[in-house]
Amino acid sequence: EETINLTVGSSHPTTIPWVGMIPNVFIPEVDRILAEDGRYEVNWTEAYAGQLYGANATLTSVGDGIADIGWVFSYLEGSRMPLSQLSAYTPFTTSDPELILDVFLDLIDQQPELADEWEGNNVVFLGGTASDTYDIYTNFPVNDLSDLDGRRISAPGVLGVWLDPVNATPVDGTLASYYTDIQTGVSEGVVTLATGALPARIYEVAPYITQVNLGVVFSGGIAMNLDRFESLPAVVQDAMKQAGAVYTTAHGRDLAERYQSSLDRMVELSADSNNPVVVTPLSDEQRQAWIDGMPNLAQQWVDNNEARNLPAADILEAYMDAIRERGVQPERAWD
Amino acid sequence: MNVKSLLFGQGTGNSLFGYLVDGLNAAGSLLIFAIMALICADVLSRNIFNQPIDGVAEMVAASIVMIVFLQLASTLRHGRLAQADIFIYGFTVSFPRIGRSLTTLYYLAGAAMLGVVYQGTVPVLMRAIDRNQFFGVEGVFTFPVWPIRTVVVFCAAVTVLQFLVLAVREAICVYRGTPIHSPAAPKAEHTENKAAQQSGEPS
Amino acid sequence: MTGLEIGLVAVVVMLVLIYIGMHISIALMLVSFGAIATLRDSGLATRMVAAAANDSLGSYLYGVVPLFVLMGLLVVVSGVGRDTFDVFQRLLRKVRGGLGLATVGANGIFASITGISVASAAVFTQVAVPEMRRHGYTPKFSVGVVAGSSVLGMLIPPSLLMIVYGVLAEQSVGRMFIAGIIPGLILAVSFCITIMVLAYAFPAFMNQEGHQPVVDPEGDNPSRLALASKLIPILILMLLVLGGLYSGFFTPTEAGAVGACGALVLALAKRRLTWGSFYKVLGETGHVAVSILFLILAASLYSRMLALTGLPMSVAQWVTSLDLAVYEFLFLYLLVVILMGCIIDSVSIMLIVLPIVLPIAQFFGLDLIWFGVITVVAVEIGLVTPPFGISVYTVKASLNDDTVSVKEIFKGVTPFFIAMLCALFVLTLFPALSTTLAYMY
Ligand code: NA
Ligand code: NA
Repeated sequence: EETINLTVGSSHPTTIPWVGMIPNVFIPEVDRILAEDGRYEVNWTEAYAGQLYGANATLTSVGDGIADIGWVFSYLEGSRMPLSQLSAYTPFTTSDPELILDVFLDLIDQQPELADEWEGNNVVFLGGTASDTYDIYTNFPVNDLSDLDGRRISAPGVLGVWLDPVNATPVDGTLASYYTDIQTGVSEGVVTLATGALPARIYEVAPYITQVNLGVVFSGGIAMNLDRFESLPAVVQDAMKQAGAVYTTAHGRDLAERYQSSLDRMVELSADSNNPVVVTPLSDEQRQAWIDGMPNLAQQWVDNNEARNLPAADILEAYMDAIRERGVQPERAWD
Repeated sequence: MNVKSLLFGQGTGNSLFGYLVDGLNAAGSLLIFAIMALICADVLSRNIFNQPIDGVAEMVAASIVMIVFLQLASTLRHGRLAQADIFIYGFTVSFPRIGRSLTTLYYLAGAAMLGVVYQGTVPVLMRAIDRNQFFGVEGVFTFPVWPIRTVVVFCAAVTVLQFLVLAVREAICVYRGTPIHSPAAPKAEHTENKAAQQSGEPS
Repeated sequence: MTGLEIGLVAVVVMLVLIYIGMHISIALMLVSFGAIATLRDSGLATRMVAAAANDSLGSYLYGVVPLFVLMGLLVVVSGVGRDTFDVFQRLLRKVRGGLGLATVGANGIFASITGISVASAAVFTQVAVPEMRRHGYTPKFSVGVVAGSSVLGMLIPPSLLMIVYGVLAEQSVGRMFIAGIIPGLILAVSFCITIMVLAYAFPAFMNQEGHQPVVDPEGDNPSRLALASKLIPILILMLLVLGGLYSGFFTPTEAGAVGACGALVLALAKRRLTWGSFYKVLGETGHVAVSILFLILAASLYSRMLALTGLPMSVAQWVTSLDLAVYEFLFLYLLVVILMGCIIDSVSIMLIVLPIVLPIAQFFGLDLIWFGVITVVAVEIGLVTPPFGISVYTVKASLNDDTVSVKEIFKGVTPFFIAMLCALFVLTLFPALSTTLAYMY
């Protein structure tokens, strides 16, 4: 039995569900497959929670071999992975994380330019991660979209543009800053995820949850350094890919369940406090007004990327078609 | 002015190289002022006009790396890079030559490490230029990466030179057996150092 | 050599290099480069050095370090620092060690506008040390009280470490902030008691021999109005920063920029600032900020190297696998955190230790808010312990005085280190001190 030394890293702590699934799902699966084969064994060095690199360098750190395997936060890699940003420029497409993971895995498989955003940066894509659907958390009740008019709402990066139709003012921030930002009044609410709002306790300062259901996004994936991957025997390579697929499936299922359970938990935790959580679904016509008011974000994304000679229009079409093929009618046809 | 005085100055820091280091330091100072003005403008614009300035967080985060490297050589030149003098001062008083030899080695180690920063960042800079890399989010705010990497590469090189200048000066003191004159590890350009201090209140 | 052995050798070599006087940041980089090159190859070591240099400071939070330093220096130039301390000195003149007490009090107030201890250390080195020296305190005591009380910056909200803990332990950041208030006051009081003990039992530690008392030009009995007017500028500044912070005009991180701008306007209004002196202040700000930030950069490389060797993980696993009782676990945990504080920075300690220790704390059924408070205090003790004590080196960098050695600062901070240990003991013994306020909120 030969021992292979591998270092696993992540910018985020294992308390984040999909990072926790690296030691809880991915690694045991690799170990299980290799134990069955019996020829190889991996000696893991695990360094999560930014011990090896921060959130601003997840792709380069795996590409440089600082970690052999790590979670790549493609969502923050707008420059190196412009095509992977697609789902952030196509809100209201779907609220099903398992669907978007399935579609993106196929796209990475079939679109060489999309695959190149991984291999061109010297990493092998093993499994994908997504978000649950985005909602609005505010410290004031939202009965009508006009209640958001002129309000300062925290939203990271391009999510600020999602607020255009309701005329809210986007304030830049991160999951770590929302709580204090809302508490001190810098912003009055936030566009965020139930799975993020629960651990960050956003509901304590912004107990009015309006289920806008802005859609899920593809956020990145677990990846391995390309040189290290190629240095491994074929059976170990296969084990990595198989474990990556198991990881994707487990993560998608977990996300789908976690959205509702996170909302329930927030209601439960805040029940006895001064600010009990109030969950209100946005009415269909209000939601449709938001969808219709969105600027043509996808076209901006296509234009920016066609200027780089990337076939963005084709990829957008393939993406929307893939969703329709799975029997889901996107609420906004971005193509 | 011969080559030696151009490079090392004449004990007062008025060398061409000294002007370069001071100039980079001034650029860093301006950047600190600009960050202050930018954040204040963002705060005002957000609260008065309900209109935040895009990309402030990214610009501040990117600027801090530039500030550190722009002012690194000057910080070193003025003897302000943190070190523990628990051992080295007393030792150099007792054994000037060995103590100063050690200090020479410390400067050389510094030159080597900043050399590694230089060597490691050049490929990063090349990639940033090749692929037109940017900070920020398209459609909201973007800023090219290459100017920041260029500052790191150039200033790392200047800091290597500054370490070498200090090492050569120290080596000359080893050769001459000059005794130590200040409690910390011997500082270059002591007079200049004092001048920079006048900004504080008299103690 | 195994990773563990390389990690152990790296720690020992780093301690030796820092002790014999190599620049701390260079020693950290050199040891890290060597260890990574041995463990893997020099190519990866070079890339990791470059990654630390280019990426580790890329955070908005670090952007406010120079701004808080600039604010502090402008406060000094405008003469406000001196005025404040004159007032405190007069108010506390019947009290021995009055200016030391004033430093602790002012640091406590300043702590509520800054989230980083190094900012407090940098500012009060500029503001308080010259005043204390002028009034005849020993250099050792003057810098010691500043380095010691700078720790308040992380306990009294806002606090960077509380935010990091809140995120790692999934605790409310706002609740963590409030949990820190009483412990912060306890620590401040313990510092004051320490100063009184020094003043009466060890006067030689505090008072310069043969120093003539300073007579201020206003004479012995300035009117209350004159005294109050000296305090107005600093109160305006506090009002600007605190008021703006808690009414939502800006975030804790933005407070540094607004505070610096306010101090600039103040210095201009008091006609204490020329273009020339402003330029010098900016240059000085750079030197102080860069020596701190370059240290953070090198420390992040060092922490990454250690993570790669697997040493911190093994040590933590070994300690936690000993099948201990609750109090034994707490004692060992705090001991390990304090010992780690001797060699690495606060944020790194939390990032390395907490993911391993939090499940154990939950297993023992410990309250995680209280656990966070004692963790932050234990981590902060590391700011003042040799050989790697960032607060001490910050004081040294801000002081720019060759006659006060790092060794002298470590000596001066020792009584306050003991006070922190006592406070940590009390806070560990009585969880209610941390939790009562927090759960009322
Ligand atoms: Na604070
Ligand atoms: Na320490």
